[in-house]
Amino acid sequence: MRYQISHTTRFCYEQPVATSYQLLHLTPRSFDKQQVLSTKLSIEPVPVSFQQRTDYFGNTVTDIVIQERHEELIITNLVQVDVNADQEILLELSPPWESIAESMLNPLDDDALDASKFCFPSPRISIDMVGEYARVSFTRGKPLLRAAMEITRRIFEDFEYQGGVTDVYTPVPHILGARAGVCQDFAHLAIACLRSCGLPARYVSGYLLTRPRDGQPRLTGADASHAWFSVWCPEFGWVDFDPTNNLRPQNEHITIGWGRDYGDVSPTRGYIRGGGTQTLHVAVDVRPI
Amino acid sequence: MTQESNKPDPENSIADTYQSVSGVYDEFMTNGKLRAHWGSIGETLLHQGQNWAANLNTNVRRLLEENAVTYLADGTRRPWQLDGLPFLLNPDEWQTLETGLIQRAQLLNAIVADLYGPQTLLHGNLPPALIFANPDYLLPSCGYQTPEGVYLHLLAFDLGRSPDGQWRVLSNRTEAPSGLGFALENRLIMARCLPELFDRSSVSRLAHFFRSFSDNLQRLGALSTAGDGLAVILSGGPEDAIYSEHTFLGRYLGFPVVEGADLTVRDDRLYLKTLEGLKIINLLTRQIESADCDPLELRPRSRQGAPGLLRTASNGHVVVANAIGSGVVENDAIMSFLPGLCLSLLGEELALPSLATWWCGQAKEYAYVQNHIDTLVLRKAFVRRPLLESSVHTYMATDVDVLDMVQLERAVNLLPYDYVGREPVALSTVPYWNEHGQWEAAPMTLRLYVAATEHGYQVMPGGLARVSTPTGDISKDVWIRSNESFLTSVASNLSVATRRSDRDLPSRTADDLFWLGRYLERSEGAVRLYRTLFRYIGGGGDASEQPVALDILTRLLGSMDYLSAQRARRAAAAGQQAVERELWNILFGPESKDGLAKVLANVYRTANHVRERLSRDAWRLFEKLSEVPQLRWRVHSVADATILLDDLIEKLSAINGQIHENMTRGHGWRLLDLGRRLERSRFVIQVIGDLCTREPQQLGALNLLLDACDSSITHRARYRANPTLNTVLDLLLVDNSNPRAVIHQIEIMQEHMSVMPLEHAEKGLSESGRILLTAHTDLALAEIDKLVDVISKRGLRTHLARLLKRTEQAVNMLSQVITRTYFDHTSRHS
Repeated sequence: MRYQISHTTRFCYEQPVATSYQLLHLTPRSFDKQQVLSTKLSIEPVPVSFQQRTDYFGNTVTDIVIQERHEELIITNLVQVDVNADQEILLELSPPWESIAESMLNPLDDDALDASKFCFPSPRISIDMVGEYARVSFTRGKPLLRAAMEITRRIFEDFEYQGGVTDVYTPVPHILGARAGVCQDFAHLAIACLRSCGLPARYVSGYLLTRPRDGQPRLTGADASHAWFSVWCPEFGWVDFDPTNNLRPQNEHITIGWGRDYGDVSPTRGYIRGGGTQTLHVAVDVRPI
Repeated sequence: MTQESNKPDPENSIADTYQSVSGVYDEFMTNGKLRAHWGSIGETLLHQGQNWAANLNTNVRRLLEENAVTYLADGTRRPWQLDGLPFLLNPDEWQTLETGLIQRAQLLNAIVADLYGPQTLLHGNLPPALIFANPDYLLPSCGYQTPEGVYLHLLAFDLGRSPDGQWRVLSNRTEAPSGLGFALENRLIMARCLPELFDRSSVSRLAHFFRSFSDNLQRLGALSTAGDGLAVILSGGPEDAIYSEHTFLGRYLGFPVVEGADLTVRDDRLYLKTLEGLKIINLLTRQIESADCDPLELRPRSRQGAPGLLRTASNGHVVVANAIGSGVVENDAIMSFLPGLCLSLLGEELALPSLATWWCGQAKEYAYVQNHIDTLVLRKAFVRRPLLESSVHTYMATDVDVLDMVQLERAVNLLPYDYVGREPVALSTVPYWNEHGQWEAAPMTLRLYVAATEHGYQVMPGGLARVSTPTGDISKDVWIRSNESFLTSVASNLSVATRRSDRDLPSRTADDLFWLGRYLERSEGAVRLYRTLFRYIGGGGDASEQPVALDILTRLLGSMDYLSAQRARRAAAAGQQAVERELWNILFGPESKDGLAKVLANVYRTANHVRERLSRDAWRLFEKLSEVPQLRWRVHSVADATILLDDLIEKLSAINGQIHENMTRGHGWRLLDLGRRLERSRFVIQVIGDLCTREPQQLGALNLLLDACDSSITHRARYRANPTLNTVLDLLLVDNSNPRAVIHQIEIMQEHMSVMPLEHAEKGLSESGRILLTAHTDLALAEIDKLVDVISKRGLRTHLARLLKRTEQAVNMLSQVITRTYFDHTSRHS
């Protein structure tokens, strides 16, 4: 599946900004299920410094510094990408979840070691309150991926998709109490559940094809970017789940990057001098070509 | 000052009164006898009587107070505690500890280098949870480059001695080890309180250690890609609990103490914003947490660091000491892995054991802890502990905040890797002088410091002993006897270095100095006016003039915002009683908008921001100044108020004297003086405006004016007659030989501005030069007779009013120009 994605982020400031530092996770990465064909990142006003590098997780990061006084910052990214993630997985064939949790204590190979980074609390995901919720699905001997799918379904059913209830700093226990949130909250909650069982789960940031194709229902979740989670399992590797839409992402999810939580891969992360109150407008268009 | 007397005083000596605790190792005595290594020092101390001990400890306290050695706890300033009896370390043990700690420093540095580099230790040596569940492991720091592979430039270790006599390491401190400044302060004080004993005992000096440490930092800084550059100390500012230590180290090492707002990253280089523009930094000594260093990549909302700092540092463009992320090995969990890591990384046995620790992140250890949960000390594995909380009590007490065993077990079960179990140990005791005036035994920990030098790690031959007493922690100076002879005297070894120049004055500090000058002058003006007011109320003025003067005075105070309009009216109407009733609110009510307390608080706060630029004596005066209102709080009469205000004037004059006599004549001093001149001009202009622009002339008002402007004596000397409006205006506005005259302030400001660094002008005069020249000419050409005699129909002295207005505008414009040119950021003052 080939997509053309345009992602525009516009910050409007009440007062002029003198200096702006931004760290951008906007360029999708290439990996076995996805090939990036082209990217074009344009920024207005023009930065004095523009550097691209790879972060700890292998994601593409762009560091920019703007020193021109401005009241509006517009970041536009145009991407062409091939996604090839159609993959039949028999969830039942995955090993019992306890064996994976066990293997994380002393990982035997590089893949397991790499996965073990994602087993623990991270800056935005605390795991001490979710145990009870998680245990319902992680009963003894259950295959890991089946339990993950079940958590995905339960979050979809138990929680209401509702903007404005939470923000990007909302802690996991709060989401659990509110029974509502948006895609990153649901991803955070699911990850917390898995990690509370000692399992490796990571946060995935990306896009979702929102225009319904013939005869298919419209997927909720994203006029902006989307988020879901991924679970590691030997032999299967990383397997994605989308609790916002109660499904396993396939060819309609485009991955930008992954990390321990939202904080590692937030599309824009900035520090500005001046500015006063700011408003943010995001426009994403995902078009199959 | 000298305490020593070799004459034995058998009454109530330590030998008689001190009792060690049975079953516990005592550092001073064993079986009723002095431990051998105390030697002649011990003998001298052992037979001193109670008076000697009381004197010694009183002197120590007085010096601590004089040197303003304090810290903040719960928002209040507390005096640092130091016991008069030094802790003497056995020279043989010292050698063992020295060797062991150097090895430990090398080991920890190697671990940090690996964890932020190739991560080979994760393949079998260290379980992932130890690193990835550790919030001090900063993933963005991976790939961090640092000259010569030094990540840990300064380390501290807390040690404790168990009953078997063995020293054990209680904690490794690698994040931003604190307390070094306190150790140095302790030493300076002890060397003064026991000078003969100190000299006679050939106690190892600390200066060499500090020099090697600081030289090496600067050498490494020069190896960064920044090359030549500044060395700075990054502090969290006056709100930091141990800011006083940061300023002390700054003065001692000769590094400016800066805050996040002083820094900026441009083109992947770190700069200090100074009065003369951006100056590149090649070394940053970090006194804030790693996670606060960079709001862009680390803790998002922190204001203590600088955005982009992590990238700049990890690319090797600036040396940060210690490296950002170095807290990763400052935890209890890693302790039990050190013997294995030492073998695999250094190929050696770990020389100095840690306190036995079981980390619950491993199955076997977890089971052990579960089986011994009621005897072990349970601690959170990854919580770093500040200096002031790391005494015996915190090491030997379970710190998990749960109510009972059941809850505790549940918490440990949920996140086992978050907990460690530690062996409880009865730590060794030392005598300290308790609040009842007796020597008493209390348990202690020993903190030693290790620094990277050009020739490898070195242990500071001294340290901090921390004694846990029922009333809180007390420190002791740590003495280590050396065989080397010292040719240099204590004084030259330990005198505080003053290598500072004002070339690299941070803009924020410049701003603070400017405002310190302004606040000082404002408070002086306010105090003078209040004093004049109370003198009149108290009958100091001529009785017949009183009603008039009171009315004018309260109006004046009102117009200067020192008295609210409502109070001023009430006071003027009701006279003495009303003012007296409101007296204390006016002066010191913390809620009162027009309080003196507020003015003085501004002075203190600003002085605190620039503390490391002030001499110790000056700082002490600021502290005393801030204490005056509290001291007099309970006194409620006019006479007391006058005494109090006299006292304040005296202290303010002393501060001015200190600043005038002892501050280097650099840009910083000039800005302070500019602030003061600017404010003094405004004050004189305002007082004249309030008292003289309208008919009629009153003798009372003129006397008042001279008094408020501190020019009564000058006037008497010059004119030998009662003041007239002509003589007063001449003296206060245009007589440039009067140090209080407005024209004099303008001339001094011209002199200052002419040497400030950024006074470029395209043609002729700079902007500030033009403003000042215009104001000067205006005043110099003023005709006093016209100022006095030209009166409008409504009774306004129009020439005078206009001249005052123009001059005031000029002064205000100058302030704006200075702010814009030199302080290049949002000023926090008003």
